[in-house]
Amino acid sequence: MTLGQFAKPTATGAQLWEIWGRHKWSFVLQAVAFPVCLGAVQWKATLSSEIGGAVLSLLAAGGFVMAYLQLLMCFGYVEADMRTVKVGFPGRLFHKPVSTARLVAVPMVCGGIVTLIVFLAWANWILRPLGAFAGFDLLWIGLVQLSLFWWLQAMGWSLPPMPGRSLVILLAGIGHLLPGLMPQVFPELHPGWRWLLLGTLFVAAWTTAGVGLSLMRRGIWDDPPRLMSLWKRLRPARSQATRKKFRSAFHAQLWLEWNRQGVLLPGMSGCIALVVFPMIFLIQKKLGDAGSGGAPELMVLPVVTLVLPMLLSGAVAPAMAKFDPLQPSGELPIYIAVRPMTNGGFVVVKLAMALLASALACLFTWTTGAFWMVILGDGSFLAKTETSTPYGPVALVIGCVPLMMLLVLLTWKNLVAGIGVGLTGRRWVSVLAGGGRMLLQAGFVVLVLMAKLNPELQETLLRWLPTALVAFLVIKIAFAAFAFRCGLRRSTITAGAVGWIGGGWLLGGIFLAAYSALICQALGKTTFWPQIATAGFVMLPLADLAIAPLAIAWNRHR
Amino acid sequence: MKLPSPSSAEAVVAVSGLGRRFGDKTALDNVSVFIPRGSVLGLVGENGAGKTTLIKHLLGMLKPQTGSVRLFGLEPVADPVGVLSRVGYLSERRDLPGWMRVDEFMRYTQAFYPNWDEAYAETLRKQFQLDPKQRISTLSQGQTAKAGLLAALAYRPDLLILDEPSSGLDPVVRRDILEAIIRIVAEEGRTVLFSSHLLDEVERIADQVVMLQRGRVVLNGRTDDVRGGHISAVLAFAQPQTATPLIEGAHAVDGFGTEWRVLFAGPKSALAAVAAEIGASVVEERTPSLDEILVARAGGKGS
Amino acid sequence: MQLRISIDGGAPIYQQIVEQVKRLIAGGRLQPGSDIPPIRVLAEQLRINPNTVARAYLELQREGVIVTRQGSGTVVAESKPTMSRKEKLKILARTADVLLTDASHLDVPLEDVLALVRERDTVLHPEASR
Repeated sequence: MTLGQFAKPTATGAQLWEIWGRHKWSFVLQAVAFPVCLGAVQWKATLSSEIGGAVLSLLAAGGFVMAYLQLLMCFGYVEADMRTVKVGFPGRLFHKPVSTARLVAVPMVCGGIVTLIVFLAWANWILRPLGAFAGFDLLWIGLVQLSLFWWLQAMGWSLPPMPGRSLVILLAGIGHLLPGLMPQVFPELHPGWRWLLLGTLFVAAWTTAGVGLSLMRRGIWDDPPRLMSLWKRLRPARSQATRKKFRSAFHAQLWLEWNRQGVLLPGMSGCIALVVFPMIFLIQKKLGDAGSGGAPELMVLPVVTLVLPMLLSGAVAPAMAKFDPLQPSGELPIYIAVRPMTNGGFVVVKLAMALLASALACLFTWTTGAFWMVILGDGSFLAKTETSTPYGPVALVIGCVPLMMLLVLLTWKNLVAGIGVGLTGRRWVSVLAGGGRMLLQAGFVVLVLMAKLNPELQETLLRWLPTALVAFLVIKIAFAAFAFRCGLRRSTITAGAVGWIGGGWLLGGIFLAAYSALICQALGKTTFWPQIATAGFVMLPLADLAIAPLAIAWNRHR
Repeated sequence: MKLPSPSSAEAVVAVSGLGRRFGDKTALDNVSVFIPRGSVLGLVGENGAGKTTLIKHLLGMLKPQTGSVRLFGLEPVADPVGVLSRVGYLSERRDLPGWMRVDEFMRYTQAFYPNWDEAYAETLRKQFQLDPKQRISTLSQGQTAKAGLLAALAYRPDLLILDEPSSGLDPVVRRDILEAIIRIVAEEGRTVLFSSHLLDEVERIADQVVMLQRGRVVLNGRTDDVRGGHISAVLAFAQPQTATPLIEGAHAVDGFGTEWRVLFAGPKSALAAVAAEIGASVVEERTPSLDEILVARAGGKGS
Repeated sequence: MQLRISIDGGAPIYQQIVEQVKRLIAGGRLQPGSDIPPIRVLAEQLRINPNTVARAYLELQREGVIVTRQGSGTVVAESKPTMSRKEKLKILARTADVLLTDASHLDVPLEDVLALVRERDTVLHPEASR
């Protein structure tokens, strides 16, 4: 490593060299991505077609998100300690003859500067021309981002290994929305106040990082303080009591999956609903009052409440395929691989876990959302719902049940679609499949945009749509049958599991068809119903689930 | 107790001509191992010789590229449930879920095995002095090994596979584990396969020893026969030797001047003949320990 | 019955057990009729494979040193073992081989070896020689 040879042999130099060495390729990618996205933005300015512009904007925005996330991961400077099952500051550095201040300062200063520069560069030259941050003071936003970055670092390092740790960090991140939007939300406030707030945040972040890390280094959490033992004693006795044994291997594996993967979606969704909704609501109210002067758009919040789990599930889906989130590779952990359970059995457990997760996430989010709407709203929403249907509010709620089941189903679908890819435990498969999926989705978006602009194309597409849907369905069923047969022959799946998966798919498709029939009837567009029904069957995962046992077998027996 | 022939139906483990490569590296080369019911097989060899790879094949975690693997007459890859329900396994790195408590792990494991004996598990737990409420990530190395062993023993598996059960453990824990294994062997019909670097343990409790070197089986037989097939001797030459003498059949030749210590593979008569050929006489001979045999063969000095 | 086995090269474990049992009987620590621990117990005590203990017991039984009775376990034989002279000499031949090999390595002539054997006999069994 020639750079390392030139770096002075100091502690700081060593730390920086290690950061560079570990994330060399990410930095190279970043250096490549910036000019590419810049070029995309410039090209967009010269383009006349809308689709091209939309695609390029998506590319640039996506590039920004990925670049920022990568910087966070790199300078976030956390490592997972497999033995003690903790995630935090690299423990191996605690033994070095270096002061805590220096350990803290290097990633914070270096990371802060790099992230700030990168953020400002992207925001100014790439995102601004696309229309983002219009009317915002870029410097203010950049500095709030810096505070957010430092807070994420500080909390990632200082928080003890307690349950819900990652949620606290997430909330700290989301909490920065408020200072970021301060100039807009409180325009009457003297700018001095918000700069003071920012300064306080900076100082607090640094102090937390410094004190927290020094406590961590002294091993304060190894010998939990009296506060923690008090908390342990107060914890509900249920978790400490001896439980009866599991009813079957399925239940045991489900318990494991739920504890490791299942709580992710309900937790995230519920917390966002609990904390972010009121913030957004209040901000909107403020903006609405200050800006247009009319009633704030109350319909946004209910819609967001309804679809939040579904949107989140797409992001959480890759985690569902893992068996142990701390395991770096996707390999089956040995204590699971040696259990006498068929590969199909593992798949069915995962599906059940995903269903539980979806149902609970929806339940938490909806009840929390409804709670906030009742508390914060001024009753206008309820008034609106009364007038929107002639059947009365009670009937509306009952009528919503199929809608809620539909949303749970869609959330579940998002969680398990493509689970076979993650189950193979091989990174190149995940990368390839992810890339392929992105290409397909991009192609689909392009097609739709083109059809929107070109009425002829739109007509041909619509004409061929029914046949295409039927063709997809046939291919799907054929592929699934083939995969099931392979699985049955290699006994990676039992006939019972095939029954569950196939039967579930049929039931789901029928439910969707029936529900869409109702809606089509209500809206009077019954001609589209066959297409929608077929699309329902196509959309629900079947072949994916058929491949899943084979994928696990490929992972388990290398 | 004789070793079963390859076609013997009573072999609990029947590995035949197993071969496995990882890229360019040959991990296993034409390995054949047969373990009859009720016997204890000690698998020895240097680090990287292929012991863990062989064990992973037995559990179905690796697919055989050449040859076949059969446990209880079943193939672990084709029928994981049939095989794994009768096998208890303790891995080298223990590989227990750190986030679970000891009692949670026991409850989880119990659900998979109908033969789980709760009373026996409780006896073992008390004997191993494991606190059921303790999180596995906070257990010491010895306690983790004990917890893993407990989970593998409690359902009385027909075949117990232990990968380095004593590694990294203090002598007290090693004793406990050894006693637990012996108690299992004394029970009717249970078979044990264990790999170990502690060759005194292998000598104590193994009926059969298999030594792997660079993926090949270099020794396979009853413990006493393997030892009896080697001689640790001192050869005295008439003339002082300037370079290490080449002695046919010797695995380690070490010494200076006229006296050279040799670890020879073969009967006494063969040694005497070879010595006579090169103009030396045998002045001391005894049966070597397994430790000496392993180190000599692994060192690869001599011819 | 307290035995000690060593694993650092030397006789196979079962042979060590056989010899030690015989020595204990010869030295009077094990009286005829006294109990021999069951295979399992001895295996756990010595931390060795029960099959090895079984093999040792089998050998001792064959030589008539111990006797297994139905239901009452294994005991030291009451009477002298009824072995043919040939069998007894075969057992001693092993020890004789070791002695003679060592002698040839030390370059000790046969007469000296025989004289030594007589000398040691006098020391070991003083009452017999008197």
